[in-house]
Amino acid sequence: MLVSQPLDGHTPEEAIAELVDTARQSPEHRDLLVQLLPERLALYDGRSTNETTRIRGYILATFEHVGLPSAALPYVLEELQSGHDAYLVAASAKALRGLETPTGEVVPFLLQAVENIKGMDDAVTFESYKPQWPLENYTTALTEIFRTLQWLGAHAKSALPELEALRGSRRDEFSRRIQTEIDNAITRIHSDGGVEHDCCSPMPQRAVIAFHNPRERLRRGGSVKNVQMEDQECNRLTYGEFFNAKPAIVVFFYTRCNNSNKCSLTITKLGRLQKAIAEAGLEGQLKTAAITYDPEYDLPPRLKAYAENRGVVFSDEHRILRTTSGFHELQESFQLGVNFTAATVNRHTIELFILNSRGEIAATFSRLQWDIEEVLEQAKTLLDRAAGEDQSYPHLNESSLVAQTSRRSPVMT
Amino acid sequence: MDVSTYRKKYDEYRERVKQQHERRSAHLEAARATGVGLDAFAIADTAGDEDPAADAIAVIRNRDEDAENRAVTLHSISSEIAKREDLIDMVLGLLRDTTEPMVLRLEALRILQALNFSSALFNTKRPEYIAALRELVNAEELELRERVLELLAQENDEYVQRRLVEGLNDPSKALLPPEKAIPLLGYDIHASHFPLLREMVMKPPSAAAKREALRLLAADPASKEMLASILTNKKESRETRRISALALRALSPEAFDAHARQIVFDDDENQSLLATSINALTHSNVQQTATQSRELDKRIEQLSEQTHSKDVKRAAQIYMHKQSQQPE
Repeated sequence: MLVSQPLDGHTPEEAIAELVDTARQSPEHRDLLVQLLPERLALYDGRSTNETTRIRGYILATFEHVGLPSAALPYVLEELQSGHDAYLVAASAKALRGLETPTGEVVPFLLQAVENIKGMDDAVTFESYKPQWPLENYTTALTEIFRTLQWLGAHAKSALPELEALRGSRRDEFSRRIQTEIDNAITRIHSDGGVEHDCCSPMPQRAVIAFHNPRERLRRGGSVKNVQMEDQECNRLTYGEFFNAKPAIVVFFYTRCNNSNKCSLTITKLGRLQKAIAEAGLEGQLKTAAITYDPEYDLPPRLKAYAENRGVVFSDEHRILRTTSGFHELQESFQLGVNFTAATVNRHTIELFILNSRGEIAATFSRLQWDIEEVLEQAKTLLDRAAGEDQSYPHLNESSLVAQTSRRSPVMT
Repeated sequence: MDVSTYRKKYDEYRERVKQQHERRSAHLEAARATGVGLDAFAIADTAGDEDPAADAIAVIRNRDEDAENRAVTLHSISSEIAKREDLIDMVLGLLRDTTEPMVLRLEALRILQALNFSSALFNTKRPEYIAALRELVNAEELELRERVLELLAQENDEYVQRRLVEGLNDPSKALLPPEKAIPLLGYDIHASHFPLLREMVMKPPSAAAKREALRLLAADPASKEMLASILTNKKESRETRRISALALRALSPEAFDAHARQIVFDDDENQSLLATSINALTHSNVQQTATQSRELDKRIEQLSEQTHSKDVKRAAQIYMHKQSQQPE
């Protein structure tokens, strides 16, 4: 059965799981599963983080069976690179085994996932939705990561030095069960006669960068110039008052985020980016801002302490902001990859925007970790073009389509 | 059991274990010398002669031993367990084994709980630990069940949240009474139990459950009006109103201040709530007009002179002292 009505926050989880199970039996529907992944979908409205995690993990793990489409790759790699939840990381490691052609380009993401999850691994299963414990058989995120390295075989040759270290000097960091998986991965990589052929793989290694035509963006989201905001010192101002006259780099975050690889790291990197801007002699030419996803809770004193503790400096051109009204307009205009429980964020992606001097989006860095040098480079390019009549970039990269989907969940019939 | 009684019992246990240890060592020496009776020490010997925990392991595994002795012996090798995966597996096995005595299983849980903070090796066993805890959420022994549920709730475990919510919606499936289940849901700020908690306030299964639900609603912006309504309802119990006041203050200092002022100016108000309100206004950062401020100062001074409540008098004096320190 594939549902015939839109999915939203009231759709029972079991109905979604049934839909995923159906798609698992009919791989021709796998692209519909990809359409369920953007965080901003109404499907995730009002759900808890645990509910959201259950749904997304169950979908991701299904790609192992139905094949992993390239449109789903950013979601899988994001989870491996920054995820802290064992269920989602295990699901993503399994999803990679759905790649049509194994590629060594996923190896750095798998090795990063080992580091992210080894202190917080968990017993998980994808055999059923909402399993009842005790379970006869369960797996773990680390097990699935090392099994994917085994599956990659010779394509994972680049992992050998790291795997040897994990088996040698770092052996104590893993249980005997996981040590066996590491040994198996090493053996499999050595014994696999397959020839690596990774030259043509379209794997993104950094944040998905998308360049936008500002007028196009405006049509999608409408004006946000009058959105009311408040900075870390309780100064009231509108979006249009702050984001004008100069290009700006803006990140989104919230202080109650419990994934240190996401908001905490984003704000820490913003502080480093501010230093890099000054070192590049661009102080005074670029503004920076961080805007909270959680404006009701993130009051100015909280925002200020959070950013200061992570090395962010403030001035008239560098602020940390919350909306006092109009967050929804901002969410729509930026097509933010975020959704909410009744009281706070349930799930969000990593996202950084470069705005032109009219406060319009010129470029986005989303999902994977952004690189300070690369952001600065793009900002410099924007400044160089500032003299031109249109500050937009000359092309629109279609990879941004994932971020620009409607909030309406797909209807499947 | 109070601390001194527990300590005394514990010292007695240790002394008994020490004596048994000495007896066993002597037996082991004799057995080695004669080659007779070594079977009894087979488990201990698997770890080799150098194993410092071998004797203790033999005691712990021996079902004929006194259960409390086994528990104390287990406790005595905690530091060794932290370093050895085979011993961690043994402790996990004891915890899961429903045929083992409860005193031993509870000690196993205490040790695992401590290792969770102190042992790097134990960190590698986290999946097995969490799986063992999930296995025990239906444990018949209430103490074990409560502790397991608490530990899993602290981990924001999705399975335990599911089971707790299920029990609140259907009391026949409840693992704990509602007033104990509700606080466990409060560990996860990214959960979305607020509609259920609001329902618990509107149709409380018990007065205690209502209070616990109100405490958690301090993180729910959608509950502001409900909290204000309970705060101002004199038919509600003093404690329920006080919890609502604190929750509302956490959510909206402005909204709380307005209600606190009303309480301070109400001659017929509960004295405890009055003291709470004055305390909150003393530390408030909410801006008032000069007129509002003067009126409030005057009223609190009046209360300080007229009240028979020690709490109100003390709160009023602190307020006036703080005001006197403010620059003109």
